[in-house]
Amino acid sequence: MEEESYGSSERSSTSSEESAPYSTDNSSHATNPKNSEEEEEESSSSDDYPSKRRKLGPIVEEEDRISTLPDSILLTILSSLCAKDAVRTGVLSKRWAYLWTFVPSLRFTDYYFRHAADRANFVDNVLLLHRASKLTNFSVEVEYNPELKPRVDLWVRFATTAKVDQLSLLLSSCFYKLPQHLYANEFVSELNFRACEIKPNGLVRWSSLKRLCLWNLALHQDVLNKVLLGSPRLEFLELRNCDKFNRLDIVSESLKKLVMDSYDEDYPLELEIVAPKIESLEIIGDFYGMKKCQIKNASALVEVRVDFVIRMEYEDEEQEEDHYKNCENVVRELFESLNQVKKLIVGRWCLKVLSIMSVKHLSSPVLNCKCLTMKTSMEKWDLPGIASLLQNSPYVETLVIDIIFSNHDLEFLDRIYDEVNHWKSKEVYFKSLLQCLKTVKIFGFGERFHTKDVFILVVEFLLKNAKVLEKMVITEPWVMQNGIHNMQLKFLQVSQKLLSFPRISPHAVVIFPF
Amino acid sequence: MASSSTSVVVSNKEKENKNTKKVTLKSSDGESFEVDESVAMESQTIKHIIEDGCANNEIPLPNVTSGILSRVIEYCKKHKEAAGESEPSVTSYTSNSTTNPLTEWDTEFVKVDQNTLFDLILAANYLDIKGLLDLTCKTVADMMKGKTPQEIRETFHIKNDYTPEEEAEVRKENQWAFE
Repeated sequence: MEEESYGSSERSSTSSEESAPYSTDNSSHATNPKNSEEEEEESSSSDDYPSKRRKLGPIVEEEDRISTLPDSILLTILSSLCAKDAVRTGVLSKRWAYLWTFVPSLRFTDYYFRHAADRANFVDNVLLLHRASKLTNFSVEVEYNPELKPRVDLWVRFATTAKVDQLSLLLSSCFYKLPQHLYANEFVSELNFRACEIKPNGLVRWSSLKRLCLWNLALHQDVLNKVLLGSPRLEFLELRNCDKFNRLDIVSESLKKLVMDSYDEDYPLELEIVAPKIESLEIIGDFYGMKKCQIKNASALVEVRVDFVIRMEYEDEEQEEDHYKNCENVVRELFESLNQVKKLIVGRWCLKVLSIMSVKHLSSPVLNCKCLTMKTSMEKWDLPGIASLLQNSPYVETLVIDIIFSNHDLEFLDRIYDEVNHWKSKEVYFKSLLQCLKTVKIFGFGERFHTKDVFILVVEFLLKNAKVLEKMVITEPWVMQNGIHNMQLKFLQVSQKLLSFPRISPHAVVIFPF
Repeated sequence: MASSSTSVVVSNKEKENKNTKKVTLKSSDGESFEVDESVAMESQTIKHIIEDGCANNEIPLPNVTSGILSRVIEYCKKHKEAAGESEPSVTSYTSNSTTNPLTEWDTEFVKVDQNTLFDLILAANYLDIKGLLDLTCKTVADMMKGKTPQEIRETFHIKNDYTPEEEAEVRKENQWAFE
């Protein structure tokens, strides 16, 4: 790698003569209260240090190795810092004096400033002194008001002139209208916009764009079409909390990963995805109304995470029933288009819908997944869903159970299902299942012992029926390290019970790593 | 019925152990390390040497001591393994970890004293191993985050070579950065 010197003074090795005592820092800058949890190997006490060294005579000084690093490496280090920290390194020593002005990454994403105007002033000052001709990253996070428009426009112009690779405008309060020149940019490879107004007059030409994240903004179908058409290399798209659409057709030849996070509008969402190369899909967050979610031609899809909730206000039982009927349809249709997926993560709410379907004796689609993760609160309402998922995933090799807290009440289920024996009655169908299951990992057990009966039931069942099981790992180190003695004891008792269960697989090992 | 899809995973691993080419790397203090060629090629520098056909006997690395070289090799091995896994890796989503399953391992890997850390940085730079360079540089950056300049000087033993007058001048000029 080349070592370019940027005109700063020669890197001096530490001299052996005594230096002037370190000046105590009494300028009134805002210190960040939460100091990072770094390791300070050789931290010195403040005032005593210089005098101590003088008394002991010529001892080996701690070497200032960081200043001996070449400029290019120091700039890599400074690139990870937010702009404020980077600028402050200018006062460290002569070597560091104007090094930061060449840092290729400018992140104005810290929270030191209370007022937007101060933040804007700071950005302006930095841009004035900044000397690098190429930017890899330009990120601004600021509370926006329309008065700032001309300045933000200048910042964007500054970034695009420096051929920035990654541009992030994360705003809040008001919407910033993106300047038209930004829509035709051949250098940018990653764009992140929050609370921006995206309204291209002409075509969008983002020929190098690979990643696009849109948060909290209005998205119209025709704008989305322009964006997707104009981004032939787009691989990653994230839409979070966007609105002003009821139906979204996401059509892209190049898209590999899509994240759809939360939706809040008056009308239920219809989402259709046509992306033949898509490998990974995440549908997460809160959807205030969803009617349909389908993926056409999901042959390349490998990894899917469905961890969302469809929220609805209902006033009476009839509305509640209709709501859940709709949820069942959505989940079923969605799972039908996911049947070839290899790695599937199912969130707690979807699992509960599967429970409802199972209890109503509605069929769920068969899945070919090899690695299945379930997020569950391990309450009795989860059992039918867990049973149904296991029943429909005969090729599963790795099973991960993530036990989490859930406050979803399902009194709805109370009315039509009140027997834990539902699980036992299904066991007879399970005889031929779990043929491929080799690994089981369980996270999060231990925090809520009231779920332990369900948990024990599931573990016992797995051990009894997984014929080729190799290992089962149950972790909750928190309990063992920090838990009160009582809880630790309980946990040990449960662990012992689990270890005593019969295992059909001769090689199975149960591990509690803590 | 389920096919025996487990056999695919097993044979991949077997293949890896049988047909791998090895290269020998020699540290500055004369110690030799034999590694899989694919692991060594995590270093772009070594990759070019091999591709240029200059790696007949040993590849001498006069800028890297054996202690550091063994750590670098450990890093490359671990990351090569993770990249080559055919099974989807299983992560806990409660920790909100990103898709990199090696985050924990990496964090442990850089828990070293400053001297070792800087040696690793220089080695990663010389050997052109992007992941290791990014990781070690980020570690140093984390040690600087949120600290006052005096605290940073103390952490890294940076000598303040400004005279009191010069320093006052510099502070005034940079005052806007300290408000």
